[in-house]
Amino acid sequence: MLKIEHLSLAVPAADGDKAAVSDVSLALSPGHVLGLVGESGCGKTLTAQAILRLGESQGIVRTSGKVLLDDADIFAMAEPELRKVRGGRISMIFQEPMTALNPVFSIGAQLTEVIRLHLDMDKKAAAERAIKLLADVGLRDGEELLRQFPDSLSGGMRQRVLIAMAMAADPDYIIADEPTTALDVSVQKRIIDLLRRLQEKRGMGMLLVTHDFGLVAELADEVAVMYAGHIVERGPVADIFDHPSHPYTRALMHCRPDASGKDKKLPAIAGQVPAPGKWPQGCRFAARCPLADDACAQEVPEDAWEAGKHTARCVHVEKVEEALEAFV
Amino acid sequence: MSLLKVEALSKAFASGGMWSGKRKVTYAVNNVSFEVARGETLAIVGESGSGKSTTARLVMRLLEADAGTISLLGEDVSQLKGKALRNKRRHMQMVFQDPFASLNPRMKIADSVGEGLRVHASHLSRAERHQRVVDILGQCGMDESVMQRYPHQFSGGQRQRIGIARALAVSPELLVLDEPVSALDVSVQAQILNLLRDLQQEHQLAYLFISHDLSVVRHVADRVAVMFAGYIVEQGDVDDVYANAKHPYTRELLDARPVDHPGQRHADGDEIVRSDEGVAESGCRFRLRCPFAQADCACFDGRLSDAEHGVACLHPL
Repeated sequence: MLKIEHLSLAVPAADGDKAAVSDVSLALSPGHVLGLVGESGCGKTLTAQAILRLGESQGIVRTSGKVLLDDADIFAMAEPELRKVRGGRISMIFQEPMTALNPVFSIGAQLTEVIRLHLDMDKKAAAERAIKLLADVGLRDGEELLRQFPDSLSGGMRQRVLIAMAMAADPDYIIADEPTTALDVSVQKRIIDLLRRLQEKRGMGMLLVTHDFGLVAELADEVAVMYAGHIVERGPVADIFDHPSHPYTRALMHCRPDASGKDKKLPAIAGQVPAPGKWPQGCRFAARCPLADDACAQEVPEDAWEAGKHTARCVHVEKVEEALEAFV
Repeated sequence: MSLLKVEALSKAFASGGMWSGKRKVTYAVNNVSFEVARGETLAIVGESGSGKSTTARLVMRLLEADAGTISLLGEDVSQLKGKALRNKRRHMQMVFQDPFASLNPRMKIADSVGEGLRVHASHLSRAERHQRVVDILGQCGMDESVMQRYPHQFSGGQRQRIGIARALAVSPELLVLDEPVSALDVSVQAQILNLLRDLQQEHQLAYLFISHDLSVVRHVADRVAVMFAGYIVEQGDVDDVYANAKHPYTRELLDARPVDHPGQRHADGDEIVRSDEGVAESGCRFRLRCPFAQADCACFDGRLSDAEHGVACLHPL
């Protein structure tokens, strides 16, 4: 199991560190896909990067909580041990296939480097494995491809190469941060299908970080929705889509343009996500929520997390569905 | 009479040649024709490299076309220069994807939004211009307090409101919008789409709306033109095109949309890719990726059929 327990993070700012993620708990099990959804500035990428302690070089600090990989705390690991985990047991796929590859090294050099870092292989064996990995991600002519440089590949092919790199050491877990956002529409679908196929075939646990409910609908088994550093709702994917119970989740789903007719006004959410350090007391969504009242400013329910259970952190959760029908 | 009429517009870019000796000419926009009527939205949809943004820039005369005509309000503007062109620009304004890059960071919002008025409405007094800027910002959902601030003090959604206000200040009839909501979060995207809808109804604006997002296009457009490799491959009423796509590329785009609900998932084996991308250099540009391609596609001239719902394909679906 890969577990995040009560994790809080702070980002540096001119006037001191500002809380950006508060008390987030998540669990990722092999063979399952967890979708972490929210808009930009909600802390979902920070949370995902904290799993591999990637934010540390930018001064992001953990203020509390743990990340446990089979009961070993990743934050307690020394550098050599951490390096084995990164790319070895837990891999990451980033959003920008254009910048994630080094332009001055061939695909082969970059791919075999990762393979040899994690697996005890000579050059020849590593090259063979590289060709096999490229075939796994749907790229033919691997031998030819190994000699090419990133700039001769299209965005879709680069993302496939990056996925092959992430698979190099047969990781148990994969973190995919907006893996299709920068790609053309027709390529997106193919990358989604590829990720699903690899994840199922290899029985990996996947954390899918995205703002796109369409991607969640395609891939996730479970969903956690983040707003302003909090998890506000979580549960099995079908429950979330059938009965979104937090006003934010509901609003986010309904404001997608496809859901309404051409002449209908979209049910937009007024205002914007409050910046770190500007979070209000009580429910952080209250200022944008049509159901908000005095009670919301006082307190927000605890994150009652239980595996397989659908929960929402809203004091009005009982009346959300009924009351919000009127708004959409 | 249509507000904007574009006929047989073409633009080629040359690449390479300085040292390699091989000069390659790429047609970014190839024999493109369309019309936009007052109060109407024509969306141009396509992927990166399809020529949709180049088309927008050609219409705005930010780029010079190699061939073709652009008529605005019945007058050919494709050859206008200098002052005559500047006068025409009052009728068409552009909104960009990244409003931060398109607003001068050292200019106060009041000056950015009012800049066009200084050029196009110089007969107005200072006070009148000021009032006009206040009004237009108000229509775009921003109050007077923003006027003395600078672009970096605003979020993406607010900047896009400012970008729209700046475009609208000179009361144009046509807005050319290049991916206006692509950089925004969904909740903010919905706010901006609603704003554009309200403004269109209020001012009878015509929109040329460039986007890669089929859901957004479905929501905003009256008619849609699908572009691939510089050609319009399908054009028609948006409902008709979405319900009854005739070009295999349009079909591919529509099928690539993610499902709305996890219950609709379907696995289609993506074992080995035929070709993710790739553009043919002659004939039908899509034929390398097309599941229905036949031998004669290599000789197709890419002409759009002359119907309400036009398609450029020898073997339409």
